[in-house]
Amino acid sequence: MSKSIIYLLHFAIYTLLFLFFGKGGFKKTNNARDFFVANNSFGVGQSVFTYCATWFSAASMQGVTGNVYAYGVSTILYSIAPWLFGAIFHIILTRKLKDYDVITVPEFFEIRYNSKFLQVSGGLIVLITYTLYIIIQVAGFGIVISELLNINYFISIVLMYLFIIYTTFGGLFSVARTHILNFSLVIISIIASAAIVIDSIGSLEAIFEGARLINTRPFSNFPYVTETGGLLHPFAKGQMPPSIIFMSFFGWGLGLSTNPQYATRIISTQDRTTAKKMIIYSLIILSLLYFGLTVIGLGARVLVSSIESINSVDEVFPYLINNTIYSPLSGLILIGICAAPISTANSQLLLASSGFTYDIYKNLSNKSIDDNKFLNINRLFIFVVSTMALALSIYPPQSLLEYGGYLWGFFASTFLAPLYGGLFWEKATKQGAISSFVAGIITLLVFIIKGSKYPSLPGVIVSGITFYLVSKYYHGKGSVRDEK
Amino acid sequence: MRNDIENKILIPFMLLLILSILVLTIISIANSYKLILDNEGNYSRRELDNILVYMDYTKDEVQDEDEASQIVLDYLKERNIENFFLVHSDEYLIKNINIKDDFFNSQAYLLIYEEYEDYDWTLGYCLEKSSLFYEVLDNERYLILVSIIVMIISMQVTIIVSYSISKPIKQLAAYCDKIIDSSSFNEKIDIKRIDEIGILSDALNNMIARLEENNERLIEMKSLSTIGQFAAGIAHEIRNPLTGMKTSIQVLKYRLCKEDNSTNGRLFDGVISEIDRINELITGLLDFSRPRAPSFQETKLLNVIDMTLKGINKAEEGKNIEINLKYEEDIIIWADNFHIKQILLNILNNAIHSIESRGVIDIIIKRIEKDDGHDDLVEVQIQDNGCGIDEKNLNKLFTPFFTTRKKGTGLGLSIVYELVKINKGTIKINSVLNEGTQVIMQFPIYGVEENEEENTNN
Repeated sequence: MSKSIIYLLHFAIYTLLFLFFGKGGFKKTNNARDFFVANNSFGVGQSVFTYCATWFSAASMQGVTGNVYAYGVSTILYSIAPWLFGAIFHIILTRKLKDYDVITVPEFFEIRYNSKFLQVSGGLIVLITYTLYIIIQVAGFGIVISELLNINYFISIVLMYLFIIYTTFGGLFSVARTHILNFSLVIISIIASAAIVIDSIGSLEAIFEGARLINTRPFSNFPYVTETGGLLHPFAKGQMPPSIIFMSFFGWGLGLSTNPQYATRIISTQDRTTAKKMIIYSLIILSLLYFGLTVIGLGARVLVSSIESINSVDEVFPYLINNTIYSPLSGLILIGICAAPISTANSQLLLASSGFTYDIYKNLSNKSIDDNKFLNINRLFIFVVSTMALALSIYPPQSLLEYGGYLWGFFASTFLAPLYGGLFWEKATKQGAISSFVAGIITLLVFIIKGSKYPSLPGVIVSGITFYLVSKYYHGKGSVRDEK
Repeated sequence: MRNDIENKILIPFMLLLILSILVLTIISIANSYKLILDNEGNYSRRELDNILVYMDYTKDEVQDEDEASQIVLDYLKERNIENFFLVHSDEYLIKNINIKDDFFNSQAYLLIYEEYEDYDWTLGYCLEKSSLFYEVLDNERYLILVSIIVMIISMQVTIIVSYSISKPIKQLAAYCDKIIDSSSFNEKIDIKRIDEIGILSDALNNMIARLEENNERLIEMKSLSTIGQFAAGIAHEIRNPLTGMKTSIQVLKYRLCKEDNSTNGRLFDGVISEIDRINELITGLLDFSRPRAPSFQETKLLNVIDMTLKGINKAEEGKNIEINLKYEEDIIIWADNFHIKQILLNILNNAIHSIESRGVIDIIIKRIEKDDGHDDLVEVQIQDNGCGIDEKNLNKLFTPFFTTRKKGTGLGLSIVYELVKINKGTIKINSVLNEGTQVIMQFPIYGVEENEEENTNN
């Protein structure tokens, strides 16, 4: 039997499980709170699954493995450490955010600063950013699946489209139930891959010993030839200088710390203690999984020091399971690779929907809209946005793929100061929040247009300074905190 | 998994859908497999026939059998035909197959072969069936994908349909639970649908509204009944001293007021009139709270009406009232003679009071035919063209102590209602403000009641 047919049969079984897991959310959902934050009902177990599944996208699964393959352990400093650093902020966020009892982060702006403008602007950022990110996820999924299953690219993205619509229609209850399945598959996939890699090479020591000796070009169009010992060097012997790592803390780390998809997970927990436990347990699990991915990436490089047939780091993991470590478990591992972007994309689609329907539409037009009508508007909007994302994924804009990595920078440059400042600084004012939001986004856009590789850094700095100075000025003028 | 109505709809449909799609997919793949198996078999058969023709031809052309067989063998080896084998005396001369030797007895292979006895050869084609099956699967990958896509869409549609069916039912159940828990009828269920569930929710809303209305009435009646019993209790105690007071005042008037129109005389008359009013109220109260048990008898309706008309003061306060009695025959009813008189008296008095100065009161008597053809009821209509009753007061007319008249006791119609009821009759009042009032009563005609005899004995 051909490999692609084996994968396809695994995929069919995954579909059945997915349909079963995702079916229950509809009936539990009666209003916006149910739809977006599951009526704040999640216990530790459910929260950990949904937090981790949302976190673990293709950027982790394929990106980390591929980057470790190409750059070595410096990827830990470049990507993993900034992410985990950003997540520490979530622990700080927990207590205060739960006190506000909001449904979305932009709603927090409205309550804290009494500013509809901020809620609408926040909703707009959420809507645009996540819609663009969904396009990247759908396109990424389509490329991998079409290659491995040997099917048409369009059919692949239609599958992804149907998967995310299916779960998102049921709100966070449905999304979180499929997260249990998806994240379990991710864990199994990583454990299985790491075990096969270690078994193929002999031991962990053998992997590190082998990696130390590598001095090839990882794939033909990769700009650098790996120096001997570079794979185990913290800065990849100059390929990943400390400045890049420092910059990535602003882009990835601070972006993740303000990313509303995690704030939503905090809000959806039963209480503060559950939320804190969720973050701590998740970080432990994620660290172990990243260790597994690092082993897979390094092991892959030891097993095959150069792959001629691939063009990007994202193709390393699929290539590995399909060729180098192909085994009867490859189908299962492939499903894990599929599960990661699906579980991130459905969370983001739900948030994009909240950005429009809750923070913009309901906020501006009708506060007392009937629950059923509101839920139907959400589902209609989800259908429209996902269809739009599907259409754009057919020929994904090159610029989007190029600048996709900057998307989290939008959150860092716009949400960071008003969110953390509003929660922890008594003197924060509405004027400060609005001006920092506007200044942050303008700075970010200017630096993106100028072609800067790290536009988040100036965005965050300008936004932070503006927030501080303007708040200080208005607070000094007697402007009181507009808290409801 | 909760066994709720949504699951009861969703799960069977879900299983049915998945099963249908799986069965269709499997049938389609099985058909393709059978087709490819037949094609391969036919192709191999044709190829084998060609080889045999060639062998016969060579044998005819070349006289030496060994030479001929060698030519054929060389030719076949040169062609290197896929899945072909040639066996001579249990030894493979050609083996272009990678399979076990015992394939002759295995069902896992598609085997097409012939024995060529002249050379003692067995030659043919052998294909592994599983490899053909995998080939089919490979070709049918889009069928599997389309099945997956259809399955997801069907599941989504099933979820939405089962949700839309079960949600209003759940709402209705929750609503009923709420009513039971809170014992409050103030809630209304808001389901706007035009199907049976919409009808059910409207009916439930109406039922609850009626229940609320009746509940209020029941509470009111209960409270009034208690008040009535209490009032009746003290009425007895008031009546005796009242009689003494009236007598004393009449004596005092006689002694102190020699002149008819003296001021003191008018005052005494006023006191006596008020004592009479109190007495009247007490009588009404007693009649209402403890009405005498009816003494059923043959009652000629016209006689009772005649007696009642003689007893009423239609010229009250100088009014000009015309009373018309319309009937086709004298009808005998099975009721208490005195009760009927009391009923008519109270209603006619009300009618007279409702007419300001000039008016007409019609009394109409007619038989009522029931659906089964029996005319076992008589209907007595009393209608006036007086001031009528405000619509908002219509449902309070039989409530004790409810009155719109300054000097009324509010017991007249309550007594009427009680008396009609104990005489097995019904009463209904229609009225339009400033146009008039119509009272419709129905009583059983004598000779049709099954328990008349029993009532007589009692």
